[in-house]
Amino acid sequence: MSYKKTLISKNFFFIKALNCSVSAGYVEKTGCKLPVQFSMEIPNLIDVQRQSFYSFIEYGLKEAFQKPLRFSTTKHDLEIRFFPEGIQFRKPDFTQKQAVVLGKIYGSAVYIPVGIHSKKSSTFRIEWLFVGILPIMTRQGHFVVNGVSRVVLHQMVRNPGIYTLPIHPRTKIGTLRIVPEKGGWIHITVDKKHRVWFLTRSLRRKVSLLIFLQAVGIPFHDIFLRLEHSKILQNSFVAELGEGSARHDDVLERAGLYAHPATQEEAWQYLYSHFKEYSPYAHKNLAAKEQTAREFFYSTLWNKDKLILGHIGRQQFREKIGSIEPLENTSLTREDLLEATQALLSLMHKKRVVDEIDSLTQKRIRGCDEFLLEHLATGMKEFELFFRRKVTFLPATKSITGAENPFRSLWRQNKAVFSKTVSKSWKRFFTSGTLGQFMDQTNSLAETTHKRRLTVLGPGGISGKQTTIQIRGIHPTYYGRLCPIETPEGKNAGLVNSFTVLSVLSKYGARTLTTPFYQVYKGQVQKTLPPLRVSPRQEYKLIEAPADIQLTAWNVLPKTHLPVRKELNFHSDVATRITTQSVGILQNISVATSLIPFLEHNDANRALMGSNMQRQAVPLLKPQAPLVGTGLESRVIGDVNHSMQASKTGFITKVSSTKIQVLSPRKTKAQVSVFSHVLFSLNKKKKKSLLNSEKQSFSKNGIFFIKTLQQKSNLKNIFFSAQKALYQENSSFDLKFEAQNRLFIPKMTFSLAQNFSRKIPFLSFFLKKKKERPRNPKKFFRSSDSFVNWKHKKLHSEDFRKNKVEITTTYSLIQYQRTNQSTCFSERPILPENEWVEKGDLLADGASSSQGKLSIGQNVLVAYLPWEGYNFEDAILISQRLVDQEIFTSLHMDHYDIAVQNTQYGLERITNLIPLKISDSTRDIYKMGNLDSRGLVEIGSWVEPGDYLVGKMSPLDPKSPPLQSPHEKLYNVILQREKTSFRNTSLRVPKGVQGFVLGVQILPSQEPDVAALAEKDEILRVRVLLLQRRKIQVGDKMAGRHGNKGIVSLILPRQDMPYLPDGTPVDIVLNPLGVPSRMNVGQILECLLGLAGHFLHERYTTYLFDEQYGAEASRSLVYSKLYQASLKTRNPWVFEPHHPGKIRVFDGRTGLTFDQPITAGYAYILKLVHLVDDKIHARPTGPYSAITQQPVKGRARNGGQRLGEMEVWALQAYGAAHTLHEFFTVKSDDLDGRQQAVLNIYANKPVTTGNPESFKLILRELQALCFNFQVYEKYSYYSEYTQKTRVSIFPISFIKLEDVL
Amino acid sequence: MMKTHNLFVSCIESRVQDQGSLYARFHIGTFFRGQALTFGNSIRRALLSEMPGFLMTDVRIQGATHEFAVLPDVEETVLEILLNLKKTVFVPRIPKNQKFETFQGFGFLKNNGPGKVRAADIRLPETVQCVSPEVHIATLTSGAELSLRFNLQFRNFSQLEKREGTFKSKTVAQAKTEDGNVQDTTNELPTLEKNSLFFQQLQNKRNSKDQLFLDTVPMPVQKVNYVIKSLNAKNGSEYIILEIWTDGSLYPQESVEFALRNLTDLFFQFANISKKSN
Repeated sequence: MSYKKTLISKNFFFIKALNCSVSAGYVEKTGCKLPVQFSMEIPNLIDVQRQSFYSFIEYGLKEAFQKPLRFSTTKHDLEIRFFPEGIQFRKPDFTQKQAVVLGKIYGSAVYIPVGIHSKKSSTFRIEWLFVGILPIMTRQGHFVVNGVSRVVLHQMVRNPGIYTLPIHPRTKIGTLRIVPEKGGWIHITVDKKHRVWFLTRSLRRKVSLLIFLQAVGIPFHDIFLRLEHSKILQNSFVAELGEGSARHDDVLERAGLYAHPATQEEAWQYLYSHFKEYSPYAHKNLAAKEQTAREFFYSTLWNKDKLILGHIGRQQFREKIGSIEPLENTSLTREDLLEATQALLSLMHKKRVVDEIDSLTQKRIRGCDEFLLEHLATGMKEFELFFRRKVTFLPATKSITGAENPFRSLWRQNKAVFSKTVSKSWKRFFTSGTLGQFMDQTNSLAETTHKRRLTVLGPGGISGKQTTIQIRGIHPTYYGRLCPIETPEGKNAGLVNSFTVLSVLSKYGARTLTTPFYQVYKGQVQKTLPPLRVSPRQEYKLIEAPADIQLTAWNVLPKTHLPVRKELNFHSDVATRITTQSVGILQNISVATSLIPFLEHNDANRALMGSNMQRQAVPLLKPQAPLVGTGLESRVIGDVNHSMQASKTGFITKVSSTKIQVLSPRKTKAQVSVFSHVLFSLNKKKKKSLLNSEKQSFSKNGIFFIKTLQQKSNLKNIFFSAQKALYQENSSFDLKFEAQNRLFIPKMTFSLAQNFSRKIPFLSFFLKKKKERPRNPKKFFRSSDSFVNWKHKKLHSEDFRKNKVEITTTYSLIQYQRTNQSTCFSERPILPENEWVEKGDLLADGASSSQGKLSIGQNVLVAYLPWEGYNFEDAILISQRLVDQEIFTSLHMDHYDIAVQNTQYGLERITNLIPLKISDSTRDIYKMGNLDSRGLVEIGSWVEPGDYLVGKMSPLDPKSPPLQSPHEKLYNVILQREKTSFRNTSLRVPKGVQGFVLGVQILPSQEPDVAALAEKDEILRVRVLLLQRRKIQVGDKMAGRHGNKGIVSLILPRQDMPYLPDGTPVDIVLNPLGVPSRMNVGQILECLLGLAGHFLHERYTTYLFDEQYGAEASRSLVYSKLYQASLKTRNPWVFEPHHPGKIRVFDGRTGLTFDQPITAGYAYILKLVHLVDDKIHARPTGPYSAITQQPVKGRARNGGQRLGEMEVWALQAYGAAHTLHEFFTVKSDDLDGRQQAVLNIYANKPVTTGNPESFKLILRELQALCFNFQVYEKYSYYSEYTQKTRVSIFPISFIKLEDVL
Repeated sequence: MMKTHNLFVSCIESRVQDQGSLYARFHIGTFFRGQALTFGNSIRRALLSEMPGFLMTDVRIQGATHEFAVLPDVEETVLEILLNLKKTVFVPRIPKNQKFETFQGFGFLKNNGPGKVRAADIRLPETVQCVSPEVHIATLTSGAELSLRFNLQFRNFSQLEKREGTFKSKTVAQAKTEDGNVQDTTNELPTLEKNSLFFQQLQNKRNSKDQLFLDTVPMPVQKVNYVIKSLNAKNGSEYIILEIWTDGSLYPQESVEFALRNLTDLFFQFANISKKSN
């Protein structure tokens, strides 16, 4: 690495200081000095996910167990109290990899100590309760559920609280909406006549607010006294009996009133009567007692437990309408209602500003922590209901006889259900629902962006029908928080967003998005201070200068009026009044968008496509980093852990394609001794505790806690809390201790908590190399014996004695692993043996990285010219070179599963002895050639459609008559095959698939009955992995990074391709017409800078929005680099002032130049996952839908293309009568005709058709056009037409279909 | 029409570029007005497309049953080794009496780690030479053993057109074409003797399993460029500057000769036919 600094004229172009380092033959050039461009300022991209999960473990999980479960009947009661401080996690049963292969959950069992107690008995028992299996987030920030990687998206939901809706422009209705966290919405509205109404779902119809306020317990005079503008409320007195509508009279009558209710009791009566009137279920005629009316009011309308605002809601009430209730009071109070009324009144007097519904200030981000908590709560609720039912059905007799509380035995019997309901609830969240999604693993960027996505859809969010244009729009508060560019096209546009690179979620609780701003003090930007993290609400108070303002050497803003952002609007202000300055462009855009060079020269729509298509790029065989990048490439790879970094400093001792070994010194001798000391002391303690166990422990039959070193304090807490509970509840307790470590002591010691002491919260088993963690408590505490043994071994081992203090770290590399999108992931070592690495150095590249940089495409020579129409309408013409030199070759992997089923006549069998049919040809037999003696395909063989992958036989009814003919039997005797009462149900390669058999995995059966029936070593489930390499071909989709996409239309040999003045043939020919209307000029700049980079052997890191360094900064950079290149290579054609950036290109076929100079250069081109091989489809015949008898849809089902109305017109217009005839009969719903046709073809007879419904339809259509048109049956092909019709539609005339058309 | 007597083909410059690539610049003339383009374009196209190549057809690597295998203690996977092997360039030294097209070669490589294996480590018979000794093939660590054997063959451009599209094992297709009977046996039962064709086929397939086929495309001439210059403005005579970059398997001079001969043959054949038909 060589560093040198070159100073280039500041005014000419923007590179102030070039930081050069040579890598892979290219000199790296960075075009910026702003600190934000440097990666250290950028928060870890995956931390959004990790922090969510961490907060669930740390806070959410504990929150769920705050309330004890209580069950009681008149005789007995039971209280189950949780001690969430003592929650323990068991180490996952499977590693992440195993979980994927076996189709299991990567999760750990959660245990919580519970205290069981009843009022009448004096015993208080503490035991472990298995909560359930919690899917654990992997280090990469996703989950593995049922062997499938899944991502939990963040969700943006409306905050609970109070909203002022805009006054309707026409009807002048003003509305206030109260949205509680739990419970139905409440609307308070004023209508045209200035009557104030109260609306809630349970009341069904609007009711006068005045009455509701009275019912809540605010007397008349209070209302009018306390509220400003309370005159309006006088309109809200309800009509007297006989003056209002008939229905209202009914209400009054039933309530026993004549006029507006005067007291609170009357108000209850009125409301109850109102409810009865409009509820379809209530008995209308019964007059209500006061008691029921009151109960109705306090249970359904004004229930403190059901109307909960939550902390955020309370906060909102305090901020928006000045509620004086304390923050802890989370339920809706009568004062709140009164204040809301006041707010509405002031709204009517235009003294109140309307709330913006779509503003981020009104919204909250929910992560996986809240979803997991929610599902834990539903699981617990389900259990509670279940147990409560059990309790109520408990036979009464039992309870009298037994001395023991019958609830306890009931609990003992049923506590296993708890974990079942909770586990199920958690699993359900991941597998169904819109938020737990199948991870997009196409390449590293796809994975990163998928984890940084935010949606407003899903449960608790907005459904597809409610979406308005406003919700999809970009709100000013999105600035610096959500990317204005990256969102899907189509139905989810604007509903699914991406976090910007620098936005950070605020801590647990409020959960808003913050964005950084530099503080400005008296006009000086405080760049040395950490930037402020600003939430949308705080932003209203700030005056923000844009990031691209030129500062003086002392970071002082210029003394002119500057454009500023003030209250989310454009303003201008002087520097002294500016409070903050934006940090940079990365604040505003998402990761994928920030990877587009010259983004500022692209239309936003194309930039959107560009950022979306980069996610679809297939990793290629030989990844190449772009010549023109933006600087974030390495972070995308590093943060999702798609490259391998050294976890310790050391010396590489071995590098192979499967593993890397690094030898590193242990830190100091002193540390070693400290460690052993700790072990000794721990051991002593443990012995002591065993001796004194009778006094110290508190569990009767339960488990003796064993804690890790780090958890000792934790243990203490739990002791205290448990004992405190004991002392409070009953003074006399005696507990015996049984040192039975039988339940889960060896496993229990795995703890999540120890890892949380770290700054970055991820769990220790997220770290790959837990093997070399000698402190793994599992080893120590398996039993006291083994502990001693271990210590003994350690102390007496040679290494320990000699204080040989080095550790070997082995990193295993992944080779050919399938991703969710069937692309192939493998890791390649990039450092040679005998190299010294520092912690964090790159050891290996992933599938889509080179030297740790995101590499999803190839730098190829592109020319923009029309070529014989082959690049008409975005088609792409490519050179044979890209095929021959495997430049765009990618690996794709798929798996095919087959499992043994239990049939009526016994188990199926996986075997290579497959019953042959007499009709089988050599070719059919040949297809079995790859099966080995076990009936599995041989690894490494090439298979094509129809080849056998796994041979399997299903037994048939042994009693049924044999299907074989005598000669078949003979044949089987000769071949020494068994009598075939079997059917061939083998797994064969599906149509359109071919590839290498990379692996055959024998898996355990998923069905328990099969596993029980099968013999010991029988193969029950097999998965065959096929790997194929796909070269680029006609029909594949390719794209640049600027939204310039197209389909390969032709592959030309290189001598036919246009060539540059030095004879270099172009690799790709794009249509120049694809640029002007799409307005993505970035591609041109990239392509030209790439050309310069190619000649100068440089790689560039450009700074987005570089115009701040001078006018036309991008263009001048590109021109100057091109000029430099032309000087260096002494090729004047590289930069010609007459047509800068354009080159006279020759036609490879004629050797003549094209008419005009042509833009040519090196662009970064991607191959997208939309490959023809996966899409190409043709159907001669195939399955028909059972209902319509028309061909089914879809390639997967070998379906047909729909021949629609317009296609019919086309055929009619051309008089293609026979084609039409076929389409309307045998190719449609002509069932008999289809079968007959096959037979006729076999018999070499003409094909006859029937008269199906679809055919009748076209007849009617033609008749509607005044064709006198009928159909007649022919007896045989050669006979005359007769008048005897089989299906006569209409009378006779001798017209054939062909004649009409 | 005036006839020019001063025809010339002269090599102005020739040099060895990086990685064994050869470069040469020729001046070829004299042409009448417009003829230079006809000549230049034809020879460029011929040079780029019609050069025969001597290339690796298949490889057997010990310990690798298929191209996606992984060798112990070797840094590269088999696939990467194959891709590296495709970059190697070989030159046959053909005895005078032997025909160009029928020449076949082979080579093998056996190395123990630790160390890097380059193309120079390949053992070749007297008749074959490697001109890209610097091409990296694999990196071996201690204890690693790489042993492979490969076949080399001539391919001219007409054969190239027919080549298989993928790396896939060609044994099935080969076996079928070797004996035409197989293709027509769609409804026959296979004969059951041990040495019947059916078993042979299976046998072939098994044996060839570790044979890894490369679909190398020879590119002996990497790049060609020509520039037309006028020699004499008065009578419109021209000459061309022809630049050729080859991969080292043949000298630019040779390639020009070959291309010219090929073109001449082509034109001559048609001249003959047209003569006869007249």
